[in-house]
This record gives sequence, C-alpha cells and structure tokens, in this order.
Amino acid sequence: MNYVLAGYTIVFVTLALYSLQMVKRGRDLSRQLPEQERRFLD
Amino acid sequence: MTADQIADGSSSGLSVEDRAPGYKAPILSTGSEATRVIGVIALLSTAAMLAFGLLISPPDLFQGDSVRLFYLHVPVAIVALYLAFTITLIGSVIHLVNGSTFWDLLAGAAAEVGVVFLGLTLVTGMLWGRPTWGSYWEWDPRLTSTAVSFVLYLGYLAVRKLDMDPAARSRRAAVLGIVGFANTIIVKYSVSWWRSLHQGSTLKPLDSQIEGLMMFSFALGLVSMLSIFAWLVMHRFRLAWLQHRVDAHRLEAALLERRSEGEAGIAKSGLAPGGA
Repeated sequence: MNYVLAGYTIVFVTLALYSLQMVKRGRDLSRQLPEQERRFLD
Repeated sequence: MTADQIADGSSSGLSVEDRAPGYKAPILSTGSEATRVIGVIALLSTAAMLAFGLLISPPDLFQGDSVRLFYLHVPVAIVALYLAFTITLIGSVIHLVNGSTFWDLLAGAAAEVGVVFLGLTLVTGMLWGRPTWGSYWEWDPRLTSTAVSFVLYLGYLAVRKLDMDPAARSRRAAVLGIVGFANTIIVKYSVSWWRSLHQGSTLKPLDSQIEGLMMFSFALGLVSMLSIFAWLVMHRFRLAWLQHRVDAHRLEAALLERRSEGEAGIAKSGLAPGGA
C-alpha cells in the first residue's frame, strides 16, 4: 500500500504545485499589461 | 467569435469603459467562469476518485492493493499520450498551414501540460512496477518508447524557448510537434508489436477486463484527470496568450524608443529635411 500512497501523493502534489505556479504567473503577467488589454478579468 | 474572445473566455466584448460606474476590477488572473466550473468538477471527481480508488473498491485477487494505481496511472497516461499530444499535433498542423497564433499557443500549452502528465505516468508506472514486477524499471518496449516520448516533448518545449525569430521558432516547434506524435503511435502499439513485460489493454470495447466498482473507480479517475487537464490547458494557454501580448508591447515600446532616438539624432546633426 506504500507504493500506492506514494503514487497518489506524488501525482496530486505535483499537479497542485503546477496549478498554483501557473495561476501566480498569470497574475504577474496580467499586471504588465494596460488595463484595457488585461485578459480573463470576468 | 474571434481568437481574442476565445482566448479571454468571453464574447461580450465589453471594454473597461463600457462597464458600470463603480465597477471594481476583480483579482487579475487567467481564470474565468469556464475554468471555475471545470475546477469544481475536477475537485469533486478527484475527491470521489480518492474515496473509491483508495478505500471503497476491493483489492485485486492477484495484485492486491497495487491495483489501486491502475485508477491513477492509466487515466494519467491516456490524457498525456492520446489527448495532450493529439492537441499538439492538430495545433502544429494548423499552424503550419495557416500560421495561426491561436493554434500555435494551444499546441505549446497542451504539450507542456502533457509533459507533466507523461512524467507522472512514468513515476506511477515505476511505483506500480516495483510490487508487480519486482523492479522500478525494465527496458521494455512500452516503457522505453514512453521515456523516448517524454524526452522528445521536452525537446519540443526547449525549442519553444529558443531565443530566435518567433515565427521561425513556432514553425520549428510545429514540425517537432508532428514528428513527436509518430512516437506516440509506437507507444500505443509497442505491446502488440514486440514481446513486452507491460500488460496489454485492460479496456477493450467488447471484452473489458474489469467491471463493477473497479470500473467505476477507473471512470472517476478518468473524469478527474480529464477535468484537471482541461483546467490546466486553459490556464496555460491564457498564460501564453498574455506573454504573447506582453512581448508585443515590449517590442512596440523598443521600436518607438529607437525611432525617437533616431529622430533626435537627425535633428541634432542638422540632416532633417529643411533643417540645413
């Protein structure tokens, strides 16, 4: 069962970290554009 | 609907000025209504998959609890190899045909998320291989071709980062996106073309090898991974789109600066028309 738990932990922790990093990069990049050109505000 | 509207997830076309007085800009992000809905589906299906995959579904007669990795490993592999890299293939072909930026960025977004999923496929496969085969890795046709695919798409991502003319870079990446897919076909058929330690397909349309709670847990795993993939690709695409626009702004600003420097130089040297 240890291999199973290790597999599930690695997959979901990796995906969670990747998602968080992507959202953060999106917010940082949005700030570099003029307001009328910022995307995905709504 | 324009590519811009697809990219921003809205077709209203309202500018900032059109919004009601007192409008307060929400937190800047690459999220939208669509990503929020998909995110909720991903969270719910993942919670259900964890409950069924780890607790409710029974252990296998031969593999015991290791079979629980099936509900994770197979959906992750399906999403990486047959969904992500197919999107990259389609995007690459369309980009080469008509030079579409939308499809180029979508191909890149799907490839990056696909590489993450393929890396997780290799890791979960190794963790399943240890209790089943007695070793983490064997130079088996399926495992080797999957590892080759991983390296190929890492190369694809490296090409997309090259410091060169963006149009030429996109074309080179598109060619690699098409060539790389040939290996995906090898991965798919490696278990039938060569003698392989890796098992063949468990899910056959007319002769499925699993049923009941095991099948249900697998289906939940597939829904979970598909929704996570969709959420990630939408965010990654929008990120690439933002980067594309930021780069365009920087280029425009640099050109304006150079132009004003040139004009100032001409005026200073007295070479401007009518200035002599």
